[in-house]
Order: sequence, then structure tokens, then C-alpha cells
Amino acid sequence: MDWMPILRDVLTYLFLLIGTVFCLIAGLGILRMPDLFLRMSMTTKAGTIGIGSLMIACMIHFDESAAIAKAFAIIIFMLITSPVSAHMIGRAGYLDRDVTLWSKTHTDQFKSYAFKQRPGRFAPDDGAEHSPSK
Amino acid sequence: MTLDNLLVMVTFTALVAGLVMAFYRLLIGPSLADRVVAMDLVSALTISIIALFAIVTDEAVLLDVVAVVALTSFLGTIAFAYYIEVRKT
Repeated sequence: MDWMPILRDVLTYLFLLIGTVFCLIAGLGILRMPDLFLRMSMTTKAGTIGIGSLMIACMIHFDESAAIAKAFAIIIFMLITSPVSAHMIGRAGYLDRDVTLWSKTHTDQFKSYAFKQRPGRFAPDDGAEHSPSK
Repeated sequence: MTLDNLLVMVTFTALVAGLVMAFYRLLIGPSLADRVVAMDLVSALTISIIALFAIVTDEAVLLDVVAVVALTSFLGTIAFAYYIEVRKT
């Protein structure tokens, strides 16, 4: 059983590298993406996959059952809360009308619903259904 | 330099680079929602750095800190989203 600590270290560093790569990609994405919603699609992956694989690395590295249970609870918590907060910010940012969509945006299906919800924030001709050209 | 030291240095450097990029978006963000997303990413990267520090220093107690920071950042993000949605009505 001499290879057991080596295997544990290798698995720990493998999951550390996966999580770090996702966090670095999230940083690059929030700096370079042209739009609020594209930026959010990057940062939510850092919240779920990056922290998730770092917590899997913690679960492999620590030997106590309390630490493993805590890391598992943190994974479940991040999986639940990260999409919820991304949904709330995306909806609020769209309805706020400060956010301009990317110039190459193809489909905007939320527009007619948002026009019904907050009619004072839109131009009068924005209520029409905006669908891609067939 | 052993392989352990090299891997720890590379992961810390990558996480801090992501933190710097998120802070730059927090400074220049065109709208308030961009800044809130950047703040969310800053807290996620802080959680990552704390978890990595827990593995490097072999302290399992730091996972409690991770749980508290995750809960606080979620509540702050939800509060900011509600404020953005209702501030103009």
C-alpha cells in the first residue's frame, strides 16, 4: 500500500488544476466578453465547476469525515445558489435597460415579456415579437 | 523546487490573475449589473483561494470560512439584484 499517498496527491492536484483553469477562464471571460449576459455565462461556470472541483480536491485531500461532509455541503450549496443568483442578475440587468446587447445578438425572446412587465422602460414599438429570420 | 511547490505556485498565480481581471471589470464596468457580476466573481475566486490555502496548509477548519463566504456572497448578490430591478420604479 505504498502508492496510496501518491495516488491521493496526484488526484488532489489534478482536481486543483481543473478548478483553477475554470477560474482563470472565468477571469478572462469577464474581461474580454462583449456583453453582460456572455460575461455571466463565464462567471457562473467558475461558481459551479471551479469551486466544485476545488471542493472535490479538498474531499480527496482531507481524511476526516467532518471535512468531507463540509466540502460536500458546499458543493450542493454552490450548485443551488449560483444559477439562482445568475438568473436574478440577468433578469434585473435586462429590465433595467442600462445593459446594451451585443451588436451580433441574434434572438431576443425575452423582449415581449419584458415589455408587458415594465412598459414604461421601453420605446413604444418595442413590444413586437422579435424572432430570428426563418 | 519540487513538483508540489511548482503546482501550488501555478494555481495561486492563476487565481490571483483572475482576481485582478475581475477587479478591473469592477472598476470599468459600464452598468451596475456588470459590477455586481464582477463582485460575484471576486467572491467566487476568494472562495477558491481559501480552499487552495486550506489544502496547502492542511487546515480543515478553513472550510467553515468557505461556507460563510459563499452564504454571504449569495445574499449580497440577491440583494443587489433586487435593488437593480426596483430602483427606477
